[in-house]
This record gives sequence, C-alpha cells and structure tokens, in this order.
Amino acid sequence: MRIDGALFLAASWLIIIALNIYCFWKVFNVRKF
Amino acid sequence: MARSRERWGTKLGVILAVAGSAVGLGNFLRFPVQAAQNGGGAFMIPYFIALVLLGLPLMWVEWAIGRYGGIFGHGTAPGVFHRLWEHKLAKYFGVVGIFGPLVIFVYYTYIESWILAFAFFSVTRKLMDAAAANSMLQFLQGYQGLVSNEFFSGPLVAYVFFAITFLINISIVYFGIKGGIERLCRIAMPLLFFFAVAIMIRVLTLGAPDPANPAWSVWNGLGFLWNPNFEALKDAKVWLAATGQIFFTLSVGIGVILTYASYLTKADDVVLSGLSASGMNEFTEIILGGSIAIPIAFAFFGPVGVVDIASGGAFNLGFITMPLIFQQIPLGAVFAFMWFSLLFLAGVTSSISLAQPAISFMSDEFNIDRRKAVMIFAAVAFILCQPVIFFLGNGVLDELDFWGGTFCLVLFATIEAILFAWVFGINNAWEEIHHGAHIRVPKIFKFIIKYVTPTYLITVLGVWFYQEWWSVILMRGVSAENLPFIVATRLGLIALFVCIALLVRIAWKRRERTAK
Repeated sequence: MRIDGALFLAASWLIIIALNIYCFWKVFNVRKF
Repeated sequence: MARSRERWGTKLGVILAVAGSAVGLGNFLRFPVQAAQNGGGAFMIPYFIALVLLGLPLMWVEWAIGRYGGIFGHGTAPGVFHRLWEHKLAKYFGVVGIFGPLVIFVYYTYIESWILAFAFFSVTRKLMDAAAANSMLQFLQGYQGLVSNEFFSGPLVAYVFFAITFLINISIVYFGIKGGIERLCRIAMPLLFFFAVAIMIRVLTLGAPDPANPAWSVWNGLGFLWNPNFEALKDAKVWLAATGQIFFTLSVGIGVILTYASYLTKADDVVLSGLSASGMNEFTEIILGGSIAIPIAFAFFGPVGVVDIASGGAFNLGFITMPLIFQQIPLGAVFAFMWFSLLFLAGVTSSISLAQPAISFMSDEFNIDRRKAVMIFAAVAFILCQPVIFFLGNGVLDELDFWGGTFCLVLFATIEAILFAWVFGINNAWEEIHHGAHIRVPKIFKFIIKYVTPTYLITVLGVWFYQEWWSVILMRGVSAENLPFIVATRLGLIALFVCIALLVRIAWKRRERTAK
C-alpha cells in the first residue's frame, strides 16, 4: 500500500470511528440541548 | 375506530432496527467492488461528499416526515405526503413508497435464501466439493436451477431454502415492531458485528498466504482498495457510482425509514437517532466491509486476479471467490459459515424492513389487524416471488432490481425532499426535525436540505433520463430470448403499481365517508 493509500484509509477510519464514538456517547448520555 | 399504533420499545432498539435495515449485502460486497472499480481511495472523496449532501440530509428528512406522519396515524408515504401537502394528488406520489419496498422484498428474499443455503453447505462441507472458480460457478448455477450438473439436478433445494427464508421473514414481522423486528435486531446486529470483526481479524492477520508470491499480501490488498487514483475523479460515472452507493447503503429513498420512524412518539429524537444509525452503517461498510473481501481476494488471487474478480461484480465476489478462499485457510468451514451467517443476518434485518411498509399501509389505512395484514402480505409476496425463482435466467431479477432498487430510490427521494423542504416549507421542516432532538443539526444543513439535496437529486435523475431513458424503454441490449420475460415483468410491475394506487384511492374514499 502506498503512503497516500494509507492516509486515505486512516482518514476514513478516523472519521467513522469518531462519528460512532460521538453518537454512542450522546445516545447513552442524553441531555437535551 | 382507529387502532392504537405500535411503538418501539427502546431508543437503542429503533437505532439498531434502522441500522439493520441499512446494513445489507451491499456493505460487504457492493462497497468494496465499487471503491476498487472507481478510483480506490479517491472514491472516498465523492462518497463522503454524497454522504454529507445527500445521505445525512435525506436520513433526517425521512426520519422527520415518518414521525410526523405517525402522529396522524399514517405509517406509509401516501398518508404522510397527504399530511405534508393537502392536495388530492399528494397521496399518489406516495405509492412509490409502498411499491418500491415490495418489489425489492420480492427478489431480495430469494437472494437471501441463497446465503442461508451457502451457510448450510459450509457446515455440511458440501461447499468444499467445488475446488476451482469454474466448479464454484457451476455449484452456484446448479443450485439456482440454471443448469443441471453433478452438484444439483434442479431448483428443488433452492426452493426449500427460499421457503424457509420466506417463513423466517414473515414470522418476524408477524410479531410486530417491538416483539418481532426490534427483538431480532437487538440480537442480530451485535452478532453480525461479532462475525464481521472475527473475519476481519482473520483476514488482517493472514499476511502473504502464498510464499511463492510475497507481494500478494493483505496489506497490498488494502492498497489495491485504498490507493487513490485522482484521474478517476474527472469521470462523471465515478461521482454517480458514489452517489448510488450512498443511496443503497443508507436505505434512504425507499420508504422503509419513513415507516420505521412512524412508530416513534412525537417527543422522540430523530436527529441523533438518524446520525447514529448512519454512523453504524458506515462503520460496517468502510471499516468492516472494506477490510474483508477485496484484501483477502488480492492475497489469494494477486493483482491481476483481483481485477477480474472486482469486474465480475459483487455476487461473484460473495458466492464464488469467498468460498474458494475459505477452502484454503485453516478452519475454513467455520469462517465460511460465519461469512454467510453475517450476510444472512445483514439480509434478514433489511428484508423485514422492506416488508413493513405494505403491512403498515393495510393496518393504518384499512384498519386491518396486524397479523391478518401480515398474512395478506405473505400471500401476495409469495406469489410475486415465483417468477423471480423460475425465470432467474431470463433477467426478471435484474429488471426488478433496476425499477425497484434503483429507479424508485432516486424518484422517491426526490419527491420527499421537495415536498418536505419546499411544499411543507423549510422553516416548518427545520422545526419538525428538531422537535425532541438531542443534538442540533448545524445550520448549514438548512441550506443543504432546501437547495443542495433537491438539486443534487434532480441532476442525478436528469442525467439518467438524458443518458439512459430511451435505451431502457426500448430495451436495447435485451436478448430476443429474454424479451418476452422482460416485457411481462414490466407489465406486471405496472399492474402492481396501479393496484396499490387503487388501494390508496379506496382507502381515502373510505376515510372521507367515515369523516362524513
């Protein structure tokens, strides 16, 4: 895998993992805005 | 007197159900093939753009209008659209939201039954009888009844597995939203993740399985999928492919999320729930789906072989390539069973969602008891499945997939986006989305939902009409042998659409009489 491929993979994974952590943290700690 | 509608049991239950509807075969088979064929890592640029401009807005729109319709006792698009736009034609636009899911259910259940059969053949090791790509193709075609060979002598086995799969689906929806769908998804989704993670770990720790070809490694397989080819971004087809993938993967534009959301209460959140379900689906697609099939295919078949596999499409990857690979790794039968079990769980959590709009329509608009509605649905769907099974080789399944699973998706999404943002009004829509919300949607999305998403959808529809319309209508490329089957399928689809439209008309006449 080239370095740019690894970067695309890492960036995509990070975005998705961050989104899921944020959502689950919110779902289990519901506080209405 | 109208029946009281069912409700979801828990917040997590509804999120898992919507995620279950979204997570399907496409996450594990279609996504890696699309990415590999359309620029690798560069594909993720139009993919994420489509997710933000189309997927997430449509997800919120569909959740919001579903919950809005549910307050008035409507769980399907005809009733919901009528509430958004009190015009006599509005309800007929909603016919697409019952027709599309029913058509997809008809062929999807049959494909799902192949997966169940392959999981069974993994356990009995019958799948291991086919040791090369050609014999695995023979195995699949023999099973489907397309040819008679040493593996199968007719479609009887396929029919038995179809009947079992159909019964499983009907049994789940028979027990309703909370007792059937939610209960299944609470078990099936964690199990699916467990199987997928186990297979992903196995794939990522394979290294280079063939010592004679050290460059054929899983790492380079990931490179095959992720190394960006920026030249591909100049091709409009790549952007259309990414848009199509977002539609398929999120299950937006079908009408099933609308129906699921109609079982929420007025105070329930839709913003965080929609985002969570989307996030879960994307995790399954990008992280799990992207790390299994293509990287392992590269490790076993090399850079030339994997190009052929990717161009052979998602079905070949799932039903031919993957079983062949599992034969070559230790505990292959166990991993093959896990692979087909996870695909089956992904399939069944999607197909039950496709059944629900037609069932909800009968319950809500004709006041029919849910169990009776399920039985009526089962009888109609079972009859409609028969041509798919017996005329598989004549293009019936592909025809249904095009109209139900592609055209209707974009059409329905365009209608609901315009009705919600423009007819219902963006200020009402924005307020409706945020009613009971646990998080706020960034204000830029107000602009996106009003202008960008409808424009994007109209452009996709316009490009399709410009490029494909006549060739599709004139059936160019259809062989003379298949032509009568394609014509009959189209006439059948028109008849089904008209029947649903007539039922909508009858339901509204009854409602008017009752009101008087």
